[in-house]
Amino acid sequence: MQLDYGRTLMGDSLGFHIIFALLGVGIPLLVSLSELLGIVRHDILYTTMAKRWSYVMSVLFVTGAISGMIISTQLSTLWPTFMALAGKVIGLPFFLEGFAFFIEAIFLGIYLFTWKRFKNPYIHWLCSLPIVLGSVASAFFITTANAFMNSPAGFTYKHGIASNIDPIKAMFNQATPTETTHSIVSYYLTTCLFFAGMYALFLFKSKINDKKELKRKMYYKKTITFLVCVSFIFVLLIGLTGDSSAKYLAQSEPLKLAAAEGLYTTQTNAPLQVLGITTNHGVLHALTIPGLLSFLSFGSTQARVLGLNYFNPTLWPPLWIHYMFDFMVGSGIFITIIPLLFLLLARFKKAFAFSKIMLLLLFLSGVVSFCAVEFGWILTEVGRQPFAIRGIMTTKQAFTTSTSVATFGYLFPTLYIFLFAVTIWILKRHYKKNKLDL
Amino acid sequence: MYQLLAALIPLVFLYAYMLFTSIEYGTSFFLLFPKILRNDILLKQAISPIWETTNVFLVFTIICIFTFFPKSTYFFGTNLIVPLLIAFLFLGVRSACMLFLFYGDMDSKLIRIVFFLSCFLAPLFFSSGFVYMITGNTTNLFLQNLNLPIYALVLSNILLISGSFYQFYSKNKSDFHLLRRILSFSYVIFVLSLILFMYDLIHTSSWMLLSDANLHIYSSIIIFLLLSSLVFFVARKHLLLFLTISLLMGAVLFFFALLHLPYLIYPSITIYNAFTDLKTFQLMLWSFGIGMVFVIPSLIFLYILLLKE
Repeated sequence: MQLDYGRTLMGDSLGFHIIFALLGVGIPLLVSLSELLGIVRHDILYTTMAKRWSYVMSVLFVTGAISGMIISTQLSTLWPTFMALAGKVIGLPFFLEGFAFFIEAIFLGIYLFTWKRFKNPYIHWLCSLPIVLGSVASAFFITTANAFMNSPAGFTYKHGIASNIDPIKAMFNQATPTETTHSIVSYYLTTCLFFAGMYALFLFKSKINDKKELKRKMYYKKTITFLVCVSFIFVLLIGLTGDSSAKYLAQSEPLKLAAAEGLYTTQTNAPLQVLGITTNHGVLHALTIPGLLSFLSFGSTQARVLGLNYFNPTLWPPLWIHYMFDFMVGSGIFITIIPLLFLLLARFKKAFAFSKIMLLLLFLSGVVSFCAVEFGWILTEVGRQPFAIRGIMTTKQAFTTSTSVATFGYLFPTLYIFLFAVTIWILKRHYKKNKLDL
Repeated sequence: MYQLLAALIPLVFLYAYMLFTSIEYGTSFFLLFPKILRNDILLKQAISPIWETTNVFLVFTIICIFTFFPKSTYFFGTNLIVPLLIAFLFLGVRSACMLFLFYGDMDSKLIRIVFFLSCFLAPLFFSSGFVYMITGNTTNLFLQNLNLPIYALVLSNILLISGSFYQFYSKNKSDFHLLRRILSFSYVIFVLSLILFMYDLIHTSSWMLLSDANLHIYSSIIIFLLLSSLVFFVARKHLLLFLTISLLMGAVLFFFALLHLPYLIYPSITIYNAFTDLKTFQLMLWSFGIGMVFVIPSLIFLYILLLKE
């Protein structure tokens, strides 16, 4: 019971933190890109974007920092046994993350308060680079720690004691390349689509046609085009990293793959099963595509894919992660098609690119991209159960022996919802007061 | 040798956090007197979100402790779960209030009061960590003999540092009357709580005082700093007062840490038996050095830009 509370608490906190953190990684890139475009093309509109977005960046930094701090304390208070081992083996990326965060925080301050300080606009733009690099580095380092949980390496573990520790090997474990690239690219993609979706909504809502509003509409259109162009690059990248993630899973975490795909029997020419009903004997009534799973996992339809029956049932993760996988991939396909559609329309049928339906679809893709990230995260975390560190330490072993967890099971999600509401409210208020004036 | 270094690094971060955050927390107190301290804008400017960089120091302190001394994480995590989570709850509320006050232009008496309460209660809950480290007693973390002087020390520390900082920063003579009254009040509290703290230590944890031969050196340095800060207070040397008070707080923190060594948590966890793998530590030390090469110049750059504003 205590463990359930603890997991709920951690899950809620991380589920919220992901949203703050994701935008915290994504927005700096957008700000930096648009400021550069503004300088290079002498286009005041891009500079306006950078200025307006940097306010969001600063507000989210405050909330992101506090929610990150709560997470780091929760980690050591709820999972002390895990952190005792993690601190020894995978402490290095946590430590490095601290530095990345530090650099990011310092330059964020510099960036926000020096818009008019320098004569050469490139100097101010240069100040944005440490923020971009710092936020990516933070994401990279923290994700290596999660990759370590999925694919522990760099130490020998006997009777609860870790020896022969190689921190570099632990950091650059087998899961690191695919997991870090896949998540960072998805953060960028989600941020782009989220912003594009917001502007699509503004454009959708805008009705009055006075001179000011027309100018605004032009700005919205330019922003949407810019954002969708950038997100299209990340759509291509997310396809690539998603593919290599599947191949990594097949190679190193076959059990997670089998559960995610609902594959019961080990077989060659394994089918890809979409949706259906998960049971302990595989997925029923699913839409099956023969051979596709083998192909996606190993690049050949004749490859042998391990099924659930190959593994001890006590070590199976909850089988409902199959739905998470389907939802993630489904959302992924949706957010690939929509930007592509928009770009094609913008190129060949300009009148339709900003039609009401297209704007609504763009807004939806912003929401869906957030869902894709959450589904993917649930998939990788729940798919590892019952382990906290795969094959080494179960979640139960990692959990605290303290009995006061249940009290906080309610408090923290409440605090997060409150912070979330405050953030949105503040942003809304600020932009209502400082209306776009071109 | 490595172990001592590993203890020193988080201590330095903790000191930096204590110093910067005291100014922030103190601001929440001064914001309660908008009529008397008329330079509201100045207060807000001093605490403007740029100061959020100070949170990084706390993050670093926590990261250093659990990466340098992973075995202690288990004990800190298990036994300090309640105070730490409550403290972070207050920090969360505090952030929300900051958003209201400094970003949302949403200013009301209620928010100022909540801001003040969260600012002053968070460090109190953090401070029960010190009590746990000194006594190793896990049953009553909030109301032991040692708690009271530590609470008083923390509060007077916040008021002394922030009060002297604003006296130096504001240059507005009309504020001085209130600031000096707050300062002299916190001086009294500080000295009394320090004496009470020593008295309680003799009764509960005399090993801390008996084990170190340098005790008289430490105490004479503290007394010297205290007296010289009083001289600067009377002589109205604002910058020197702020600097000596900062040094005084540093001296108190470092000397009690030295007295407490080699224990992290008395009596079971020492900096030696909780120490991480040597190879991991050496790598972290390297990255610390390299990181500092970037961090220190950018910090200096930031504060130069800020103070010139």
